[in-house]
Amino acid sequence: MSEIRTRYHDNNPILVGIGNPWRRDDGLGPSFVQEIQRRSIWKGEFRVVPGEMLMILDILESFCRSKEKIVFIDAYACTVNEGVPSKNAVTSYPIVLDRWQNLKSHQIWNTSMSTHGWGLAEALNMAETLGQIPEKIFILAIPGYDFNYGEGLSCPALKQLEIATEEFVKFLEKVKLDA
Amino acid sequence: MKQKTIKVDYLARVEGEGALWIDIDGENVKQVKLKIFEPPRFFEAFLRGRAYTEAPDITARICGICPVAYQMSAVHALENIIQIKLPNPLRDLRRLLYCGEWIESHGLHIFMLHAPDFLGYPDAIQMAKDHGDIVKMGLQLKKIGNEIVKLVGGREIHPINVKVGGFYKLPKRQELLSLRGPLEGAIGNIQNAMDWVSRLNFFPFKMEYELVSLANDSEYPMNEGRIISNRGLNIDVADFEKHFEEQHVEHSNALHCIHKGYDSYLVGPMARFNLHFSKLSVDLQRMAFNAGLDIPCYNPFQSIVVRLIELAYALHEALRIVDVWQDPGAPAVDINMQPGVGFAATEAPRGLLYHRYEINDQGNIVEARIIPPTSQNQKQIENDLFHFVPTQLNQSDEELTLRCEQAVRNYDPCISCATHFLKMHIRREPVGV
Repeated sequence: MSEIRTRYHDNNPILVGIGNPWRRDDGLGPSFVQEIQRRSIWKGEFRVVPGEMLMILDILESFCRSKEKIVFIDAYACTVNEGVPSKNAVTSYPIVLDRWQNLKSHQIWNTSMSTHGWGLAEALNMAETLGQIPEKIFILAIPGYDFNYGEGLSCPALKQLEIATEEFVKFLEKVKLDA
Repeated sequence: MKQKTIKVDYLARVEGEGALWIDIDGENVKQVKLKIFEPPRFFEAFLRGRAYTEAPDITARICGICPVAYQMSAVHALENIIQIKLPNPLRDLRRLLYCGEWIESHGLHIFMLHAPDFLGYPDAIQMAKDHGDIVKMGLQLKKIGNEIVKLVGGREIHPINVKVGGFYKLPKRQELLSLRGPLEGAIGNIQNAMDWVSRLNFFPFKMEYELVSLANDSEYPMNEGRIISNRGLNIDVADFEKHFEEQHVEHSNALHCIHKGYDSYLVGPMARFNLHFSKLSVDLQRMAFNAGLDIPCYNPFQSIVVRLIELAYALHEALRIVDVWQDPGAPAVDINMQPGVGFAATEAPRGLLYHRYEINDQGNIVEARIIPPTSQNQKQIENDLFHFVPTQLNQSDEELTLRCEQAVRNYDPCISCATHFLKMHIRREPVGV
C-alpha cells in the first residue's frame, strides 16, 4: 500500500504538546508549547495534538524513521491530598521521564481524555509493539487538577505550568536536546 | 442453575460511557438494559439562539469520530429551508469528505476495536503483538481517511471548512490528485483485508430486522435521499418524526427511537448494505459473495465484513471523485436564509443521522432536533442480546460476558453521540424462582 506520511524536518527534535484545551487542565500540553514558543527557548519543531492515539502513532512512526528525539508534554491527573488544601494549592510536581516505560509507574498512565480511553501511554505501547518507536523519547508530565468541560487552566495548573517551564529549561541545559 | 451475578466493570472499545445489565432466569432472559449514563450533552439547547451559520461547527463537536456526519446533516437541513441545490462539484466534494469519514471510522472499528473480539485479544495493543500486519493495515487505512478529511475539511478532527451553501475554501485539484496514490494502494490491498476478515469465525446467529436507511436513485446512500425500509416504508425525510418516535427510558440518558406502530429497527452498515446491494459495483458484490455473506445478511456478527465492503466502497468512490472533480470556481453558492423549518438525514458511519432546524427571520435557530444513529439502534442492541443470550447459556459467565460485549460492538456504538466505557452486569437466577 502506498503510504501517506506526515513530513517533518530531519535532524530537528520535536516538542509535542498533547491535550484538549476545552477540557480545562488537559490543555496543559498545548499551553506548555505556547509558553515555550513565547520564550523562544526551543530550536526544534512544535506540534500540538489532541491526544488521539492514532495521531500520536503517526508522529512516532515518522520519527522512528529519522531516529530523532521527541519530547511529549502531557497532563496527568493529580488528586488533591487529604487535608483539603486551599483552592490554589499546588500538589505534586512535574515529572520528567527519560524512559517512556517509566510512564507505567505514574498516574499519567490512567489519564486519557482521548476517545476510547486511548492516549499517550497506549500509543507508545502500540508503537513499541509495531516496532515503530523512536530511539529517544522524553516525557514531561505536568499535574492537572480539573479535567471537566471548559476552557482555561485551573489556578494550581497555571502554577504547575510555570514550574514545568523552569524545569524544562534546566533539563535542556543538561541534555542539550535541541543542540 | 444457581443464582449468579457477573459483573464486568469495564467494557472498552466503544465510544462513550454506558453499562449493560442482563437478568437471566434459568434459561430465559428476563431483561436487557443498555444503560447509557453519560450525561446529557444538551447540544440542541446550545444551538437555540445561535446564528444558522454556526450549526455545522457546533454540531461537529458532538463527535470526534463522526463530525462530518453532523456537519453534513446540519448543512443539508439548513439548505432544505431555502431549497437550494448545490452544483455537482460541491456536492461531490461533500461526498468525498463523507468518504473520508467512513474510511476513518470503519477502519478504526474493523481493525482496532472489533477484530480483537474475533481473534481473542483484550485490545488492539495485545493483538498487535501477534497480528501487527492487521493493525498496520488498519492504521494505514485510517490515515488515508484522515488525509481526505484534513484536505477537504480543513483538519482531521472536527473539520472547519464546511458551511451552508458549500465550503469556505476549495482544495486545489493538484492537492486532490495527491490522494490518488494512497487510494489506489489501499484499493489494491483491500482484497487481502477481505480474505482475512472472511476467515473469522462468526456465531451462527440471525435476527429479523427492520432495516432503515436513506435511498437515492443511483448511488449508495450517503448525503441525501428518501428514507426507506425493507418493510415498505418510503417517506420524505421531512416526515421522519411522523413515523419515528424517541422515547424516554428510565435506564438511559439517550432516548430510545422506535418506528411508531412497530418496534426497534436497525440503521447503519448492515441496513445500507442489504437495502442497496444492487448499487455496489459488480466487483464489490462479488467480494461480498466470496466473503461468505448471505444477501441479505441478517447475522449482526458479520457486520465486520459488511463494514469492510463499505470501506472498500468509500475508497473507490473517493478515487472516482478525485479523478473527475473540477474546480467550480466559487467554494459556495450565495445563501439568502429565510425563516422556516428544514430537515435532512445523512448516513453517518453508524447509520441514519436526522437533523431538523427552525430558523427565525433574524437567521437564528429557534429549535433544533438531532437524532443520532446510536440512539436509533439502542433498542435493537437490547433486542439482539435478548435473543442472543439464550443461545449462549452453556457458556461460562466469563465467556458469556465477552460474547455479549462483542454483540454490542457489532454496532460500533457511539455513546457520546447518543449522549465513554461500558460497565456490564449479568445476573442469573435459578430455574423456577
